[in-house]
Amino acid sequence: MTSRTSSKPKSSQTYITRNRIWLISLMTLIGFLVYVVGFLLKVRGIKHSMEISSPTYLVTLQNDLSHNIVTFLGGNRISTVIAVVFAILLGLTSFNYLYKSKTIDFYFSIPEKKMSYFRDVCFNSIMIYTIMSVAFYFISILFSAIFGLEFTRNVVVNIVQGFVSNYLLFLAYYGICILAQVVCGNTFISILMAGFFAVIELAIRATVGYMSFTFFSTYSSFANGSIPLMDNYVPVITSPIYNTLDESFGTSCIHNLLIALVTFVLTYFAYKNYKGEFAGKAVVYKGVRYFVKVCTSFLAGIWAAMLILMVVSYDYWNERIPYTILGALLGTVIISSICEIVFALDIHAMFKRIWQAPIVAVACILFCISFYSDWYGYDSYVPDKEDVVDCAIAQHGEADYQYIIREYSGQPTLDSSTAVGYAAEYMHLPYTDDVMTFAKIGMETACQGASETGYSEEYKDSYIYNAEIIYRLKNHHVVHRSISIPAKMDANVLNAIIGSDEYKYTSFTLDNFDNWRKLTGGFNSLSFASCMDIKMTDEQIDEFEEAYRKDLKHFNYTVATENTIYGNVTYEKRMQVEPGDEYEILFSQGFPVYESFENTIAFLQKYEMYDTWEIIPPEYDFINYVEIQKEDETTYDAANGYYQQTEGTAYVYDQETVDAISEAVVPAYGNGYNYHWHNPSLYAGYYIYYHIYDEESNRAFALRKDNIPQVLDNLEYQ
Amino acid sequence: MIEVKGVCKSFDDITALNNLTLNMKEEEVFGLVGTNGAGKSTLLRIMTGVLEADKGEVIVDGKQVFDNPKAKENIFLIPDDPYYFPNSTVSEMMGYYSSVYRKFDKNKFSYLLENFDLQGNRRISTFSKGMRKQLAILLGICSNTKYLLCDETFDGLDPVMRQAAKMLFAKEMDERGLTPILTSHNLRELEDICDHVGLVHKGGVLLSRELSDMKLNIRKVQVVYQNEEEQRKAESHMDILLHENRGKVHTYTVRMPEAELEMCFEHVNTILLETLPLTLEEIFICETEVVGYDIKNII
Repeated sequence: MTSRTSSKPKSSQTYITRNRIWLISLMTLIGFLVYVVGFLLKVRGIKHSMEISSPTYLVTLQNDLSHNIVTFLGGNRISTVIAVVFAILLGLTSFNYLYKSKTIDFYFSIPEKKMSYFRDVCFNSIMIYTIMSVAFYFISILFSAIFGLEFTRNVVVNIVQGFVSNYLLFLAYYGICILAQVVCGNTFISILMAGFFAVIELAIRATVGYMSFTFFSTYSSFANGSIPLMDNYVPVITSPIYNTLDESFGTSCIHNLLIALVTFVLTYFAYKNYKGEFAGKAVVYKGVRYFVKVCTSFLAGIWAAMLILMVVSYDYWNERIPYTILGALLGTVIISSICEIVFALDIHAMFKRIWQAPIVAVACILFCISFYSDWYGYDSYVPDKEDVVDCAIAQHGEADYQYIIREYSGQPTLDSSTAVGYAAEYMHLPYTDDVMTFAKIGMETACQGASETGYSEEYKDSYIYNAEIIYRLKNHHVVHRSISIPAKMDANVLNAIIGSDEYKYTSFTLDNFDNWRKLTGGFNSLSFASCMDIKMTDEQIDEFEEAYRKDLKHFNYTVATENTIYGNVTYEKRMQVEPGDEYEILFSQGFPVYESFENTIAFLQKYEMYDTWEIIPPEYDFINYVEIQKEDETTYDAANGYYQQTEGTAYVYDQETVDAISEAVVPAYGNGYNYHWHNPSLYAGYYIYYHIYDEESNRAFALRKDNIPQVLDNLEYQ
Repeated sequence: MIEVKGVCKSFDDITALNNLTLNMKEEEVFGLVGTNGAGKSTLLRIMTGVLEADKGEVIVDGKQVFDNPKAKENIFLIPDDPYYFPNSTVSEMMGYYSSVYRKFDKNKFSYLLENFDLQGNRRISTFSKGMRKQLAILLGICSNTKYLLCDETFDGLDPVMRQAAKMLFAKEMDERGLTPILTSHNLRELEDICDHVGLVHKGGVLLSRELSDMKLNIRKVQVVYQNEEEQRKAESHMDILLHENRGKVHTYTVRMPEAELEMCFEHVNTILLETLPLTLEEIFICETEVVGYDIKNII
């Protein structure tokens, strides 16, 4: 029998693909269910809904179709989830042959370079994903086109960005999964390892964040994505989905590409050094075992300590240390033992290298104490002038405006912003001595508030504002601190800041008011208190804005704290597709009206919006009775500006008393309102309710502390 | 030639091979014998590049074998439990092997398949263990490599198949100079095919010798004497390695040339005198006693 030269052999890709036929079938099924069935059902639903109900400005066929395709194909969407799922499926099955002696014998004995097979498998995985994603994207685009979607620039950009973003996300997760595979010798352990790689950084960040949140009095939860101890935004490295969801397109692409490159390189070297005898082991490299054990036992020690403190008490420093030691030891010993059991796949290994646990426990204890005692100087941080570009200040709470987001999904969406978020984006206060003083007092007061002894004597009876200060440093760091501002601090300092044009015009979001109301179409609507919405022309709104700006010119801290608020003017930009259709709100903004805002009040009076029942108490002839609820002064919480208990309620029927009360009452809107530096302690502990004939609800008013009618002292409160 | 020079291999705390040195000549059937855990499979895997030796080296025809495709082209490993692609057919596996072993002979493979009654389009997952081993042997032979390493391959084959495989090896050796290297823990399995035998024990080589050399000076003879006087006379001239008796029948294993043995009994009156064939096991027992091992405890 003579040998014959073989016909051209099939490439290794053929065999690798053939061996993955089950996986490819599963991925195809998933893709089919999502991109074909799911997509079609959704598009069909959109068409159906357009057929039975009229479109509005916001809800049109084009808008809904483009929103739908972006929901499926854009970044941060369904396709993102699919990319991650495919990466995990491909990644955790790429090198399973390393886990059995039988397959190791097969693959390592054939006359091929070890690394060439590694490259072939990786290439195969990437090729499978590329073909599938292109195919599914094409199908979705085709369906959308058939159903009438116009491919505007916005839609095309979203699709392209989504494809690129998801592709890099796939590569990053694939890299993490194959790295997990080649540092383990067992399928189950490699899945755990991939999970470990994916969450360890987030777990460390969460731990630092939790410790900062719990033990730093000036910790700010608004510093999104930053590591408190570094006071700067540092991208998450090992959780690519986090980057994709949290960062801009370009930044997330760069980060995920880097993750992919690093993990591929590490995997290359780990595979190169992978020995045949590793098959069946848990974690094959000593360095990785140590890394996993130290990280997990360190975090376990800290969280065990925190758990014990949660159950027992956080309050006293002296008590924290013994519980911290106990928790740290428990957590480290338990998790170290579990790690050794997993590494050896043998329960009898639980006491192996147990001496390492106390060493890690010491590190846990020191870590905890570093937060208890603020070794980092976090709570006393006020930067020097020469380090700061500018800053922003905002009270905690919601901003006064809501706006449309147009740029991402193609469909307008109403969204709101926090005051801190708005200030962080738009406010640029110069970093003056007054701001430094403001910051120092704010930091000290925040620390006092969190301490065992409470606020200092100076501020014990003061209302405390919760605010945020944001420093933009010359080294490009952006530092946040949550601070507490006592209402009794030096008014000159507060006036200098709050009375500055940069602060108040940004804080009242006036700078954006014109941007939004002039960009959109539709009509203007204004309302005040219980006055019905009034349609207004652009000129009338200009008049309102001019009046409001004039009043703001004199606005400062003293004005805010000494004037009651009469109510809120609400501006809305509305749109109707056809007359008679329901209108939609495209943009809205609120403007609090202080009693000193003469120009604004004059405007409201001019358009008969002012004399509402919230402003002027009703005449005696219409009143059934007046109910007076009195709060218990002894239970007043000065810092938070509220009473904890009611003393009692009295009822007034006679005209003389009612008239005396009506003389003194002020609108209730400002009572409890602390935004824009309004001071709730301006108000007395009385709630006045006018019960009107023929009305089910009552009309509420308040009283100022400096103007309580004497007649109230003669009433019996029960 | 395969040269194994001072190879050491450990797995955690267990020493599998300890400074092992062996040479395997071409066109000879080399039998590697030892108990379970002696290091046979480990040695085979180092020779095929599956494992890397901690110390020492394995040279195949002058080339280092580890991660060297050129060297591996001349070696084919048939493990004790061969691996095939999931759900693959015989033809598909043939296709794969022909793509990695350039000299693979598809015609020969088809011919042998037919003779061994295996169907090319049948899924290997439906094969019995013995059939899977048969297939592995055919794939190995048709890959046309110079060296064919078989790890306990004959175990699990029925006697007919075993014989057929041995004939195949002989034919390939004759036609193209194939060098089979077989491991087993069964001496009887190897004795009719091996030219050279190596005994591995606890990671080291106890013995490595040509089978013909081992058989040269060792004889086994069965005797029944007329009386004790005659027995004493005969025993005084024999170099006795082993002596067993059952009643009046004495069985001796002696180390002496045939002519000398005949002279011992020339003047001895016997009722029965017969020369018996020696098994490989008996040869080993004798040879290893010299180095102080009770081979019965090893094999």
